Amino acid sequence: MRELATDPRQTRRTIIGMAGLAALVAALLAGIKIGAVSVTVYDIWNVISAPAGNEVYQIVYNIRIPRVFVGALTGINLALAGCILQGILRNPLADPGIIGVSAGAGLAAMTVMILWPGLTALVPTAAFSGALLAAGIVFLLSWDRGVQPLKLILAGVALAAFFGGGMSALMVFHSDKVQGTVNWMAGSFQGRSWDHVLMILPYSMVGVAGAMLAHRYLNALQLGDEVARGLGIKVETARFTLVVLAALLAGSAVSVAGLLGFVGLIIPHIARMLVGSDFEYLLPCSALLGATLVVAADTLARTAFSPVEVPVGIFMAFLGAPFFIYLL
Amino acid sequence: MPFHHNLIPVLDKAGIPILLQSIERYQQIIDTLQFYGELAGRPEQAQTVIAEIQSKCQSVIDRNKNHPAPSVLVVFGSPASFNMATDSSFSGDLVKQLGAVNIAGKYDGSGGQMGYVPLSMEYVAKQNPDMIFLITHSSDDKINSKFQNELANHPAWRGLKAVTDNKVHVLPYNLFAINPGTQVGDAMTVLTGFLYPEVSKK
Amino acid sequence: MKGDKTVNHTIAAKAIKLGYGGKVIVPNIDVIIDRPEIISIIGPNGSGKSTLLKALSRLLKPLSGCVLLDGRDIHKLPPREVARIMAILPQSVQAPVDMTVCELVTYGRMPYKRMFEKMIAEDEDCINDALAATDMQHMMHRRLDSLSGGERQRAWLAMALAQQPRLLLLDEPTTYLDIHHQLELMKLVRNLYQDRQITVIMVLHDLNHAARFSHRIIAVKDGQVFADGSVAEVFTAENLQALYGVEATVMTLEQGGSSYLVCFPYDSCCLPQGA
Repeated sequence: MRELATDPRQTRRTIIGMAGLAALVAALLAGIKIGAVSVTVYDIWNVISAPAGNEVYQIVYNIRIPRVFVGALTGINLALAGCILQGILRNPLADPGIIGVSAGAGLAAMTVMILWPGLTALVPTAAFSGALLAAGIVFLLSWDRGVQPLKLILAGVALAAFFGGGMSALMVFHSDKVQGTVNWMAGSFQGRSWDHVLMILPYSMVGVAGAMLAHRYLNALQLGDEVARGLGIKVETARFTLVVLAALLAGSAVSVAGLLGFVGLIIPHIARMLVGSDFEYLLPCSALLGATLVVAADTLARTAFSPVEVPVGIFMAFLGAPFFIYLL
Repeated sequence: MPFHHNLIPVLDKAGIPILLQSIERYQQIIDTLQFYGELAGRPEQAQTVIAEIQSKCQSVIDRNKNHPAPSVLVVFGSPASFNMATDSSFSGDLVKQLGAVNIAGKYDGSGGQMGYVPLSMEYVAKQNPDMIFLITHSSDDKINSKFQNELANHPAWRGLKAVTDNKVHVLPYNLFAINPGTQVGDAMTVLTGFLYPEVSKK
Repeated sequence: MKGDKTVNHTIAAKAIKLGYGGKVIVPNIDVIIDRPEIISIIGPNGSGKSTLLKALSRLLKPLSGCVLLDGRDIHKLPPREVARIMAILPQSVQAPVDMTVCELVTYGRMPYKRMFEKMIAEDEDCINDALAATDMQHMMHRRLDSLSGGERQRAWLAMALAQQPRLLLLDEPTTYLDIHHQLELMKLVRNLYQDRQITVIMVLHDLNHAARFSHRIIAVKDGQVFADGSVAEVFTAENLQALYGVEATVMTLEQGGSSYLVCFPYDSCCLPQGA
């Protein structure tokens, strides 16, 4: 900027951005190298340059690499969704679950896994549909000439309670089958592969593109509806579009990762502490941090008690609780 | 089951004696049968049933004694969300009795508390079991081919030897998802049919 | 249609009826503002002053009647077009704690940028200009929450100015300020009119500020226009009594080579009818 003096925070933001990117790359590489079965860097190189159909290839190419990517994309989606929702609802405790996405996905997935076990290939699709359906119901309930933030939160809570009841009912009446669903419900990347990467990738791309366009509107919305209108912004349209974007991001993440909590809630907070609340920097920082956290947590979760895998959602819960106490 | 444990004080107050049993091993079935036989005052009848079961099982075990032990994996759930049976689970115990090597067998935690654990797919790929058993939530036979298809197309599973050799078998829900009680003999027969097909054909 | 100094904009409310959630606050108001001047809207609490301002600024849609900007229904115009002509400063504002003055003022340029467009030299000039006009340049990178009330109000005003408006609508801009900053703000408003020929419409509580700094006063009572004219015409003891239910002395004060009307309300009397 020629005339305007440079914002002194710019340097710090750039450094954090680079650090975030470096951390993500490191997490990805570590995730590919580390696992229940030890592989050498040489093995990894072979898999990429001279793929053979052997065990190492199966492990690295079909199991580990896609899993790491699914984790990263999930982290991006959930962090962006949480960021956007906290911005629209002007509520720092908003997370993707608040619009009913988790409740809808959970009920749909559980229903398929327990009642129609033959259709488990459709669990991600069911979860995604359930997520969007629930979000749609929450929108309808809270619509009053536009998306009203307080009503949205209340409707989301109501829906989560209702669907939660449905899930409890399933658990009680099919208590012997619950065993087989718990890993999904806790949030896990068990058995995820390239199919799942392809499932979530388009939404991540849409999400990142949307975020690049949306930051100005999110910032303007922080100034209050009246000021935003005074600046010529169509507040209702902006809010609606952003909520839909958040629902797609969260729904696609839940469909491949199960009910993975905390990412959408904590990551925007950490990002805000690092780069401030300007969405132009908050969104990309959250995306980087989200991806890094999920990949790192999953790597830890699947190797800490090797070869037994702990669902990554459990690790997140253990990280999340102390974080909130810290925030206090 | 915790739910059942909660009943104890309630029934105690009502003066109703209650006995809680957990049946997680083959041996426990035998013991329970004996116990009920005595309780009902018909120990001989219990003995007959026990003898029947035991002979069935023994014959199965004997027949297979000289055959190479296949390595297996018992999966509960579905490709979306699954756990593996350890030696501390009923099906794991059964598999062990029949001489197969369960690659998840020993991961039952200290004190054998964990019957089913989530195992890393990498570990499964490395161990590459000869056979995979699926215990699903359904009693439907048509599911078998569906799951076969699903696994054959799943990038993480399809590289496994058991999948390419078509040795993925769905175990009947009523015999394996919940413990089969007196039908344990049938459960063993089913397993044997899969584990040692040549023997069963005789 | 950028803020062209030579073009006069007209804003008119035609028989508008305003209300919230079933309750009618303003049954019928007609107002025309067609030249650059400083207008104060005064009236007792609940009379509909802020409601009228919100209607003029497109924040509230009339239940009947219409608000016309240059002869066109303001609710049918593209919002960004309106925002390039008119800027509003609502009564209470909120902003993220770590927003700086510069960032805030930058948002004033939003009506001129498409979704993806970056700030160009022209935008920077506007921003600098707005900061200079409000004497905030040296505080450009200060956080909003580190500013005093008066400074913060000037920062928001700078944002409004960055929109290059021809009409500036202020809802009780001095309410939370001490007398020093109140005067500063009023002088700033007057300068904006004098230097840039901006029409300023403000809702004010302080009657003496209204009398001193505006050309025209619109007095609102029970949701209707009670009086609308020059300060000399409207600012009389009779009007103040009818409007506020106070007995006041209205006199001319000679100060610094100019004379101003001032009022001193010394007693409450019968409340005006309908209150």
